[in-house]
Amino acid sequence: MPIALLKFPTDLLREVFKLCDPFELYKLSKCSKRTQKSITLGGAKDWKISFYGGNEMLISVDYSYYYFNQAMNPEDYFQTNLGGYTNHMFIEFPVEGGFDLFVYLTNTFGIRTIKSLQMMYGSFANVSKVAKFSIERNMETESFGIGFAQDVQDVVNFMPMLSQMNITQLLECSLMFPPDFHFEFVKYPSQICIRNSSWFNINQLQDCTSAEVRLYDSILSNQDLNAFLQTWKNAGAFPNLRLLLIQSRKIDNQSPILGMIPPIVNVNNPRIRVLVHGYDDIINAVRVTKEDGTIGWLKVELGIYASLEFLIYCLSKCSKRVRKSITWRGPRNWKIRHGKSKTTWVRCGEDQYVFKHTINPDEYYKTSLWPYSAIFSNIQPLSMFVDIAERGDLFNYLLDTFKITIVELLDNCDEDIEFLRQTSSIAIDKNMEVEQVNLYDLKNPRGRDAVDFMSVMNQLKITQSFYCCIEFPSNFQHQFTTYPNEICVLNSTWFKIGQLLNCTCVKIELIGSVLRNQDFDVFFKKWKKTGTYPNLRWLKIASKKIDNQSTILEIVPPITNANNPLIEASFGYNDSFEISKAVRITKDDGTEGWLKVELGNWPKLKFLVVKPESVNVTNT
Amino acid sequence: MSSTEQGTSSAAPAEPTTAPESAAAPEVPESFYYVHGKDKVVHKVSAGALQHSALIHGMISNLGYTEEQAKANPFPFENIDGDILQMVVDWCNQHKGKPTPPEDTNLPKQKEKLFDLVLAVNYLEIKELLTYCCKQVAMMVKGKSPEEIREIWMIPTDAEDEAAEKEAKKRAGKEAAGETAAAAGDAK
Repeated sequence: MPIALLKFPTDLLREVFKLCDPFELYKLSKCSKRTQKSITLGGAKDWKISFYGGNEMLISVDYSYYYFNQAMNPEDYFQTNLGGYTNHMFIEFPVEGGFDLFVYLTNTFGIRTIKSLQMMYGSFANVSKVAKFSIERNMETESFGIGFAQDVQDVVNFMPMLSQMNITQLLECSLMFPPDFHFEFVKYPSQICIRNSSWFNINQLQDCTSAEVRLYDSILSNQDLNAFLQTWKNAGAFPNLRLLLIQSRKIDNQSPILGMIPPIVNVNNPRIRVLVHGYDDIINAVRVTKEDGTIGWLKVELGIYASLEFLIYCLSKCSKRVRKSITWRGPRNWKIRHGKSKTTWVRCGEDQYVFKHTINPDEYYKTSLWPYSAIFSNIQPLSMFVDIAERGDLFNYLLDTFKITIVELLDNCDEDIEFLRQTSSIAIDKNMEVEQVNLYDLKNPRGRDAVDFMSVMNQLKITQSFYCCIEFPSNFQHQFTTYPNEICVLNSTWFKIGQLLNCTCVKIELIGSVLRNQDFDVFFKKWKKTGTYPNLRWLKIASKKIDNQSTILEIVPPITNANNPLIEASFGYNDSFEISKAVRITKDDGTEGWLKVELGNWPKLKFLVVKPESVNVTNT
Repeated sequence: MSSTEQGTSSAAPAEPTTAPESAAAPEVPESFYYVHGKDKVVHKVSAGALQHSALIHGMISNLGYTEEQAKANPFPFENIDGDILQMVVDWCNQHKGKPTPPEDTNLPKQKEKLFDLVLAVNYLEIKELLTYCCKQVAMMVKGKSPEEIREIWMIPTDAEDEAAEKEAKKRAGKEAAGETAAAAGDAK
């Protein structure tokens, strides 16, 4: 059934176009001039375009790639191969080739960023025209590469234009220029990688503001590199630099670099890994310290391919300015927690990093694999020694530097309740989410410390679970203000019926409880009413006070039904529960729960609320 | 009605418990409002369901109507066909107080009504439903050629657009001439 799309108001058209991919919008643009114009009314897109000089154009939409390929035959026009992330469509290329298509696509889709512009195939003139167009339109070019040209002189003539381009991330050049070639950069992208780099002299290196510099086939000498590194040692020099790699036939053992005659290696030093854009490793390097305390690792090797590697490690410790610039990246989804042996852990997805203080300066920033297994992950963590002595200071430093907003776990496993109180206060002050709180019963079980901490704990924003096995004094009372998804309380005499009636948890386990049949009867009568305990899925209570002297929902314990099947239900992350020979009770709204009450030496009550999608039933 | 399946019990039932149940908060009765479309058929809709519509929600948030006042003053949406309004009301009722899932199977299926539905939903500012409808519109041309897209979305060709433009200009010229002549007549 047709629909008159162009009769939609502009804001609606925009909504529809937002849901179309580049291929659909391209085909739509080919329907008529009016539709092409209406696509641009949708506003500029944050899509990115790439061109490598040949008969192919790439548009990147987040992590999906849309290639526009030249069709050999008209019958192939608009044929598409869709592959999820990589997609191809065959189209009629404009007579003038890639440049015209580039202009058409950027204009039609309102694209403002070139992801990659490379001279790799086809006509250099096309790439040159695109570069000129990008200057005229003030477009950002993230990555620019000069890899191939039939006539090097074309590229030599082009180079002044390169100074006018807004190249932000990477400049790669592998072309061999004439011996008399000279080029001065006006500004540098964050990375440069130049092969055949004999034209890149020490003055350019001294002016370079890039974070990563890779020069191959260079003619920089020991003296040049010594001069550069002497400059680097001054406070404030080369604040962006993270990695320098120079392969030069002029590096030799005839003069020192920073007072050391090459080769410069230290077999006692560990592998240092620095994350720049991917991983770069340096092994057996010598430590070099800047005036402001920033640490770099230097290694110079001789041989046919003599090379100098220099990594600046531990970015946040480089300088205050660098630390500040890390925080500009905004909050991350990283989580923090404390571990045993006074360690602090940062989790980034599956990866975990252990920070541990050392008093030995020679060990600062040394990294190694953490010898013990990690909780919550199968991936072995990486650990690093740091110079911040106080755990609270380190906790604050990492929170502020990485803008961490989630505490993964707070516990008292190191028996330092004062430290637990301190970090809890930080979490409260910063309004952080705390996923789990575990309170273990340690040497000082009845002390005031744990009791006092409970009032602090009530102010924490605990979201996932609270586990407590502290044996509190008999007069201890506590009222939760909010509940996490799960609570598990051993020695739960203080968890009274009033709290159970107000509890909003998904999963409740109370061991060593003093709740009685009458309490449970009240609880289940409330549960049966529509709208009560909408979250509750699992309740397990072990209480010596459960007996056969009074009823629970008009049934005298034990409450079982041998004819009923085994019910298994899974919910949440990795959580599944089962209950067999239980009695079915039904809520007013039809929700089913399975109740089983057993007597004996360890009377206990189990209750599983099932939802159809999460349940398996096995007849036993 | 709730029910309890009797389980095995070995002792006589004891006296019912007298333990106090926690005091439940008094339930606030739900308020209802009334809307009608072009066909004047009045639909009773709860305030909860109407929250989906930013337009109506804005209208009712400060009214404080009683049930009788609300009944006596249905909101008129004369620009929306009755059957379309019915679809919208049904959708709002189905999604009352719930977050809408990424794929909504309750979306009205009638493609022939989609155009009017999109316009109505856009007018009533029902954001989630609008997104679903727009997704349906976008899905109509998945994998289609420009020729097919032109048919499905009723897109005129360049020649048709030019002809229509010429016609419009001609009409505008005639109207302007007519107005000038009328003005001259008036002046005489």
